[in-house]
Amino acid sequence: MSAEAIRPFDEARGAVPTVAAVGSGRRSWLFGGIAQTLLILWTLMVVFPFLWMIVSAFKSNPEIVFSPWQLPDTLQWGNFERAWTEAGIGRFAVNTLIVLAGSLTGTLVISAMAAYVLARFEFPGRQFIFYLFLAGTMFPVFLALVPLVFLVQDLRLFNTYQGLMLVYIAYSLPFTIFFLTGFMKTLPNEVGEAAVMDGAGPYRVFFDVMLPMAKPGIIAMGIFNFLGQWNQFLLPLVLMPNPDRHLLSQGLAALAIQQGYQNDYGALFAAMTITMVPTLVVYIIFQRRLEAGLTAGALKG
Amino acid sequence: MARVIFDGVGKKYAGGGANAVTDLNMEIADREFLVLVGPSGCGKSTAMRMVAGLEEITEGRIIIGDRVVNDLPPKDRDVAMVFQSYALYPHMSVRDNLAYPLKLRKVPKAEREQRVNEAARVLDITQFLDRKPKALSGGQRQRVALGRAIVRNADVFLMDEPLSNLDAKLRVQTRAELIKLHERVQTTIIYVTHDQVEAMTMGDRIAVMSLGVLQQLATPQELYDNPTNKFVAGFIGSPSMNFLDVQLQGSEGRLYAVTPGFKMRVPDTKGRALQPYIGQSVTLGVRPEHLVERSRLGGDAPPDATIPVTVDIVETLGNEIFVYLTSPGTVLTSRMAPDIQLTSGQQIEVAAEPERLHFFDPKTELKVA
Repeated sequence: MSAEAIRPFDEARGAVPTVAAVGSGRRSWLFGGIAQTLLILWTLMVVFPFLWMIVSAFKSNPEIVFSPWQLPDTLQWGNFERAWTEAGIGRFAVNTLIVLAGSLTGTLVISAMAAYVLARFEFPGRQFIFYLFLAGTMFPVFLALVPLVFLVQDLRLFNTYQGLMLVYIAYSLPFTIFFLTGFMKTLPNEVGEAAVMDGAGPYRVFFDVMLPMAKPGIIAMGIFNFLGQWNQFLLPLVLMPNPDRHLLSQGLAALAIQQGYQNDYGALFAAMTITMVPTLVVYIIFQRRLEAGLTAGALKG
Repeated sequence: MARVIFDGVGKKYAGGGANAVTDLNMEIADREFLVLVGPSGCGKSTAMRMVAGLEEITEGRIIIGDRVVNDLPPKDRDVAMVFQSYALYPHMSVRDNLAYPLKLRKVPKAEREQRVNEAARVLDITQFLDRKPKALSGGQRQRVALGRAIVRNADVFLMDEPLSNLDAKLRVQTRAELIKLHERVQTTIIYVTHDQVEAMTMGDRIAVMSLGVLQQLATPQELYDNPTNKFVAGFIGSPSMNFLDVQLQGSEGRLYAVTPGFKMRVPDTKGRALQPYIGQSVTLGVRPEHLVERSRLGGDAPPDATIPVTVDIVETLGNEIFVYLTSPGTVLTSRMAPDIQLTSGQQIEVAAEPERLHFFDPKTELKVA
């Protein structure tokens, strides 16, 4: 999970050289040029398969096979229809949204509260708890897979939305808490104290004052975890074997195999496009806030 | 009625180290404007934060009104505070910032609005009520921070260096406004600053602190005229007081302060208190504005009560001049009227009126005469 979830972060970081290269002098201009060229190549490599997938989603089966580089003659909207109903992508999408609604809310609420306490209060064991969470970021999903299945079965949550939500939350907490703790530490202490003087108790201080101030960080973590959890494949594969409860990633994998036999490539590409669009939309809308949130701590410190 | 009493108050932080505040005793009268002043790290902010309830009191008692507040949470102390950084709630409009303390106290909405509008009117921020703090200038934010304290009608206001983030001109202006505001709201104010000019101009009384210990609690004039020790003498006044190490010698019933550069007769009025120091060294202090050219001293100074010096540097400020004077072993600063003609290298004699000379014990640094 963590390796997949980290990816958007790295992509955000990939944009940094161009910013750094802006400056005066021939040398920086030269390096800027090289960096720009490499980035353009990289962008093409990333964007081209996307575009090809989207274009193919509108083609008929023979077109995909015999003229893969051409634009479709007529737009085949039927591909999307078949993907949504026959291939069950609609059902999988609903399942995914249900799980993510619970797991994202849970992750953010618990992380924000834990991070606030870890960042702002002195108590015995604080360091230990913080490092325990930090250690959690280094624990690969694969290692825990088998015990996890038994645990979820013992909790009678196997094949349930709640079970998957809990596991998602557990796996998202370490990094989210680690990040938000750092973020909360950069928030001005005096504002919290002002609220105390104004008569706010600990809960009021948190919900009325500190939480709104931490909003950029929480939004950043919301998007980050949305992308990570949306792309999750392994956990639903082992914890949600019931086909009615499949999530998009599982459904898509099943579809890839199945459509291969049915020779319905158009529906397959349409399904992939449907799966990908929400993450793309979320990322494009919130890109600025995500990057701002991820770097806010560094800029203030 | 809200007097504030520090009764043997001490603050010790966990993990050892020196006390932040040691055995602080003082009584601040109802409606008094008390300024806590001292260099950074002197414990003034800690003392104030203990009144606020933001720091635990580790020794002694603090009494607000008639209640010992040691174990009361901040919200039950009826104390409002203005922070150095203003500490406005960035996500709330100015109106909501002002209304927040009232909302928490469950003040009915109509009264809330009325009090917010009243405070906004007093501070002249009515036109900004619907803006967010980030759309305000430093001076405007400062007013909002004050407003948040005013709306509460608290018994005691605490102000932690509220002017230090303003530019020089605005600071002077706001200083005057704060004095007016105090007359108007009639609350007890405890004001923390490291700026002695602020302290002198605003305080009914000033508490000078150093290294966690109260040095002197007095009116501004008393602090200036009669500092209890060398620290207070040096801290209050700008440029600060000149200090010279002198030997006290007695001859023919007179006392003389002797340095390698001069031998100056000590005024007879100081003689008695200085008797025990004859034959020893003491610290002589004199403020720059009291060190004048001999001929300008009102009355006539005895010829042996002057200090012969060489003019080193003359700084002209228009309304006054600063003159740096040297005598073997010492450097003195003098603040003189601008009409005096002095050039570098010139030999002159300076003197001060007897009551303007201060003598301090070199070990305890307490004033002896």
